[in-house]
Amino acid sequence: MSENRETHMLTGAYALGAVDDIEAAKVRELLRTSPEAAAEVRLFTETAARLGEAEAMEPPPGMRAAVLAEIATTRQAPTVLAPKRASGNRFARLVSVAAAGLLVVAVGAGATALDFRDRMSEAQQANQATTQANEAMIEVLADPGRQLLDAEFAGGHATLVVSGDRVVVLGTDVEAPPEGKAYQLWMIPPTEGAAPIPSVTLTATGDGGFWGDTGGYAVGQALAVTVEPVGGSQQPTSDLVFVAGA
Amino acid sequence: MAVVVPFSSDRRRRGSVSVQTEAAEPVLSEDERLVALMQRTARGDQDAFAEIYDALSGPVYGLVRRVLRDPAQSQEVAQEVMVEIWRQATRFDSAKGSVKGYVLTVAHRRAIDRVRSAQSSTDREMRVGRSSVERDYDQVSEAVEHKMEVQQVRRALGVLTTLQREAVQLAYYGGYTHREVSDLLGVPLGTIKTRLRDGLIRLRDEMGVGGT
Repeated sequence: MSENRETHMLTGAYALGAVDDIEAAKVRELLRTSPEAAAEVRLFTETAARLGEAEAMEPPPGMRAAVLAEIATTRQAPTVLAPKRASGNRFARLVSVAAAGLLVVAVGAGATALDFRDRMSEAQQANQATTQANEAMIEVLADPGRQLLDAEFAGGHATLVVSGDRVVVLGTDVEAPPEGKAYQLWMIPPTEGAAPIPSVTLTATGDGGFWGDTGGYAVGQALAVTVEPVGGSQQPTSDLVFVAGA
Repeated sequence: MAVVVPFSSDRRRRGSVSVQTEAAEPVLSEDERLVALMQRTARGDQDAFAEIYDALSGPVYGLVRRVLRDPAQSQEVAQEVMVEIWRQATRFDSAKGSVKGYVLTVAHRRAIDRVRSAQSSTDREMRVGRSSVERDYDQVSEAVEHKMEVQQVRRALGVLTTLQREAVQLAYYGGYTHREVSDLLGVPLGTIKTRLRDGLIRLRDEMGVGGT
């Protein structure tokens, strides 16, 4: 039975909130590619909402005033990234950013949570870095608004998950950087000619795994990795190993 | 190419179209009214949000309370949900479903997150045992002004097989995963997955949930 079909059988459990985070991520990936499953889940979700609505109760007195007071001082979230086909302009801009002294090596497509999990289980080392990477990945994958990006990464593969301003990068089967060097993440603003913003260096988890977890991402930025001296640089000193996104 | 672009002008365009619709066409369905209110909320309109609060805080609080049971905790979570709706209004996409569906999904997710994170599984087994399914099914909640909906849901649940109904109720109201439902009911996992799905298909058809 195909994996999609297996996942499709989870649509009911998904709409009822009865799946774990990894399963939820698998279903969401399916929904991106299968209009049929998406339509089904949409109606299931509305159906589940009816079950919820039937439980309506008068909220406690004071709740309304408390909520309205809180929202008056609560900033609204910025509009989320949505995965779409590259427009010519957008891609041209990205290339021109990259061409300003940097080389685009590869941008892949279609990372799935399943791929991630398969790769994790291969790389599943009983060490702390792997556990941390795993936990961070599961956290961001659980965000319904998160975006998945995918790139070839030094002989292996990188999955990047953007959740709000947080970015989690996981590389698998990646060649180790040269002695004394580390992979470093950069955020590249969409403005032409803008300098890449330095971010974290990636931690090795053993067995070709590299990961990083950071905040500071802003909508529209591309994500890139270079090879830098251990500890990282303020400006890229190598070609891009990969660039993905925005 | 793994390339994403921000929600572009078409989101804004959709917003402005419905504003015009609102002006030209005063008779809106409840769903359309809520969509228009969400769009205003997304632009920071607190009055519009207050109307959303008035329309949906009852269902939100009731659902959270059904899952969590504890009134104080339920109020805390329901408040968080309403504030999250305010924060995330900018990201609501009416093409993906109704406002009510969205808000109750957020409420349900928050409630079960609370159940799953705050309590050990043994604690939960004590809190909601299988016996509560029957009780809950017969129990009429302290409903406010929505007898029709309650009756419709009860009637639809009544059409399900016992296994479908128990599985759906443990999953949705109990906050159990399909694995836990399978353990609780002593039924194979594959069967539970199928029963949750065909149970929802049945409920969807019984309640006439369409593609509006």
